Amino acid sequence: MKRQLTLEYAFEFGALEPYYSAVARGVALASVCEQCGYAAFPARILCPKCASSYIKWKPLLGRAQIVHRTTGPKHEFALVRFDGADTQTVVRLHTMPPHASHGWLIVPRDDLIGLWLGAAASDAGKED
Amino acid sequence: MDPVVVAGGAMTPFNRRKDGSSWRDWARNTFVAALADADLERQDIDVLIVASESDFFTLQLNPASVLADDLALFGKQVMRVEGGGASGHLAVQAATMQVLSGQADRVAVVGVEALASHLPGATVSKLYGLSFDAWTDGMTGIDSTALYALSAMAFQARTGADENDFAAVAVRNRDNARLNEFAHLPLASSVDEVLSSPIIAAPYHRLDCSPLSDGAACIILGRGSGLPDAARDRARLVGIGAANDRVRLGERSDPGHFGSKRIAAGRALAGAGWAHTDIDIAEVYDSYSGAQLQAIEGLGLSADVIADERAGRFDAQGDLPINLSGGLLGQGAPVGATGVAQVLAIARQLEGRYWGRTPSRTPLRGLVDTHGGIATLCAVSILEAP
Repeated sequence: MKRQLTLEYAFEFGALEPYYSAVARGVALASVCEQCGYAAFPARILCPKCASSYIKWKPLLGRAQIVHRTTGPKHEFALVRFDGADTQTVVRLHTMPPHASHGWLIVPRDDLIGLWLGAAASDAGKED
Repeated sequence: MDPVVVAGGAMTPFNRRKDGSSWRDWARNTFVAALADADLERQDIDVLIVASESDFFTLQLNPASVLADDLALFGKQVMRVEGGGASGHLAVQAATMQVLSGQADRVAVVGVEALASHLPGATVSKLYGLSFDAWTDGMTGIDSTALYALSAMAFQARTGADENDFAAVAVRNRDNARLNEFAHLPLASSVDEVLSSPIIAAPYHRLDCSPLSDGAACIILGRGSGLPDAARDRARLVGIGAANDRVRLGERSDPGHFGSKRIAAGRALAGAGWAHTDIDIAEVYDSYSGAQLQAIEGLGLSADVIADERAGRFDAQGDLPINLSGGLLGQGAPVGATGVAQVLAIARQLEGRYWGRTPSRTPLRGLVDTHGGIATLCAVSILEAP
């Protein structure tokens, strides 16, 4: 016997809403600690370095250096560091040349508000 | 004070069930067998702790209440412990604390997961994308293998480990599993076969990955006069430790280093009063071949894990045999049951009752390592021979 369930989950991001709104537009918005100046991207509600809750928002250029890149039969992902950020992050790659050293944040290509990296700055803020 | 002992235990085969049985059958069967192994009756059990990673896999919320009912345990303290891949091991540690605190004399830990036969593999993979930070990494659509691959690449870049080193782990663990009657993937394979299997997420090939398994395991912990004579003379659980790391790889100072394992192992060893060099045998969390090497390094069991790996130190004939059960790669990985089965394997090795491959030297002290996430929630326990 089989049973099929369908989930429709409504995300609410609370204090991180500005970050997710920006990502949805292909804009990189970091959280910067007002105590120690540490810049986190993806944004955090607490500073990853000193745990301070005093943070402010700072737009980044959206350019990221690729640190490690993994390729599978369907998708590619990478660990990258965005210029101006003190943290690294996981991104999904979108039609990136095999030996590209950097890329640009682009508008997410599916229904998830995740970080996607494209090859050209001209892709930033644009959808296919 | 009397030591906490692994009074009894049992496990089902770890595999993909095709016999029409259910996770409730597996849990019940292991519980009954563990009771028999400990020479106890069900009414002797004071506490039941259930380990199960996800209600998605059982389609049952509050599974502990259902299993207690199935096991005819009523009026007992019943709880469920969850910590991702470490769920089973954390449940064992919770049981240990129950006994040490005097809250209970005998605690049954039942770990169970229905990972293989109830849901399509793609669905399980998608669900596992939620087991990291679902708001960040998970939002990219990344799966477990790709995330482990990125961590493994950082490890390779720092240590010089290569795909051959990873593949050698997969080959050895599955060879160990050939003597384990409960193993999911007992295989005689070669490094070339691993490297020629399909790429899942480079550097990981299909045969570098542990399988999705169904299964259950149960152990009973107790101490002192609360146990029958036979059960008192069993392996002792003498140290437990746990520690967490940052969830997101990108926020770790070294995404390839399993640093929280070092903290957890330090705590467990301090409790036992031992040093890393005292360990004779270990079961470590090899969800992927490279993760085994990262775990050994993280735990502090080797100063140069790649040199030791290439020198055969972790073979059955080496001075620190690791994953003689086959590990997750060979024995399989029904998540809630995994850590429970790891503890059972080391206990049986130390008692001289293990059913599978045994080391060339009689072990006196063993270590068990399990984690959830990418070594995000880490649990380490130390056992000694009776």
